[in-house]
Amino acid sequence: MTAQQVQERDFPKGHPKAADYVPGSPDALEWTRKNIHPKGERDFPVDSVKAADSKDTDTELIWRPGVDPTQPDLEEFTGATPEVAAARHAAYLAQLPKVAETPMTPEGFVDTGAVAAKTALDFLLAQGHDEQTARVILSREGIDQVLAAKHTLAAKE
Amino acid sequence: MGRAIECVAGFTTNPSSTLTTLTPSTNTSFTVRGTDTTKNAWLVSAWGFHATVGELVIKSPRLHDNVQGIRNRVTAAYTVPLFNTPFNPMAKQRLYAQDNLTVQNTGGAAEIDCDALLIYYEDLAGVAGRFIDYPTLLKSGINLVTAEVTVTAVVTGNFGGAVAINSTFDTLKANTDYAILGGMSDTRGCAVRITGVDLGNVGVGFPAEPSIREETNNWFVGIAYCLGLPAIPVVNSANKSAITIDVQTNGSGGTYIINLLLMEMAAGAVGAQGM
Repeated sequence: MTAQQVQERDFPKGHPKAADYVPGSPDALEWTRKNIHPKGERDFPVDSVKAADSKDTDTELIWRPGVDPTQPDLEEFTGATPEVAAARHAAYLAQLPKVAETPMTPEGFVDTGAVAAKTALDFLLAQGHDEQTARVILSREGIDQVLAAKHTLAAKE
Repeated sequence: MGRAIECVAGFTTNPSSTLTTLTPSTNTSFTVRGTDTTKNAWLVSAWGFHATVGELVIKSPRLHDNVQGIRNRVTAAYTVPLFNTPFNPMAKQRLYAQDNLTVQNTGGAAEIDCDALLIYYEDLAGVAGRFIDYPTLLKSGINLVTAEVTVTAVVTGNFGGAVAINSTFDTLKANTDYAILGGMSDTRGCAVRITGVDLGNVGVGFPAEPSIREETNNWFVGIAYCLGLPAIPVVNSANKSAITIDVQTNGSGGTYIINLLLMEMAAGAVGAQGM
């Protein structure tokens, strides 16, 4: 079996000491680009995907919080497509008429009791009671009992 | 000691380049509450949510000056503390009872721009908030647990969409104290507010900024650690139906998934008025 012969160069193509060196040739320019660094030590080798001056790599991307730079059309933080984001916004707008500002007392305290009462009332209405009946049940059972029932039902779902 | 931490927020409509005084959220005020003048009140931090870049000015003759005071640039759509971040050593800015703070901003010409202040009261008459310091948290904390709620915000610039802490998942242990370490929002807004009878029905709050979740998630621990004050709110699960979370944001509104990071506390470790 004949050993394969590999022609070994004296120096890489374009190297100034190579026997076939031609100043200004494409090989010479390429060798210079890769090996001569007049500004000093590089961060990474030339053409490394991590080098700051490499083209068409991740280093050129602007990474904003919550945004995939390769898919900037997606909604920030959720990654939702424009269609999904629009549908979610439409669902939010549909809910909006039922959303209330947080009740506050005149003294500037949050009226947490009113929030709890509204939650209990909404639960009773969702169970099919009319508002008058719901209020009767609420006054008879109390907010805690109604909300306990709500959470019991929610736990079963 | 009747401690309280209050997140006071307000908004302007189309302020453009004119410094415009904020309208406080419904029934709140930028006037410092009346306190025993021998007890301290502190301006902990402030932040803003402006769709367009603007300024936030907090001034009073009783602060440094009534000309520009604490004036900061609010970069667009980035709700982060403008001074005194609880993630670095903090300084104390004293506030004075009944002092009427002037809070102004600039921003866009066709939008609601929101800002929020966080005020710490060391002794607020009639309020008995339960707050602990950092060593107590380390000593008596048992288990971490999260409470996730969905808040549908209103578009008026006021706080809205209040829901109970157990509105989504009702898994807190009965009659147990939980320290609120902080929280996270998945959507950008101005402020997330938490309140309940354990906090004197005064709302504590943190920025609704999803890009600094690792920081807001530890918000109250940071304040307690950096200011050396009992600033970690503690609530009891017996009051869960009236522990509410709401959000203040601009005219875009939005649906916010809020995760509160809670620490179950050892039984009896936290007194009726905190520590």
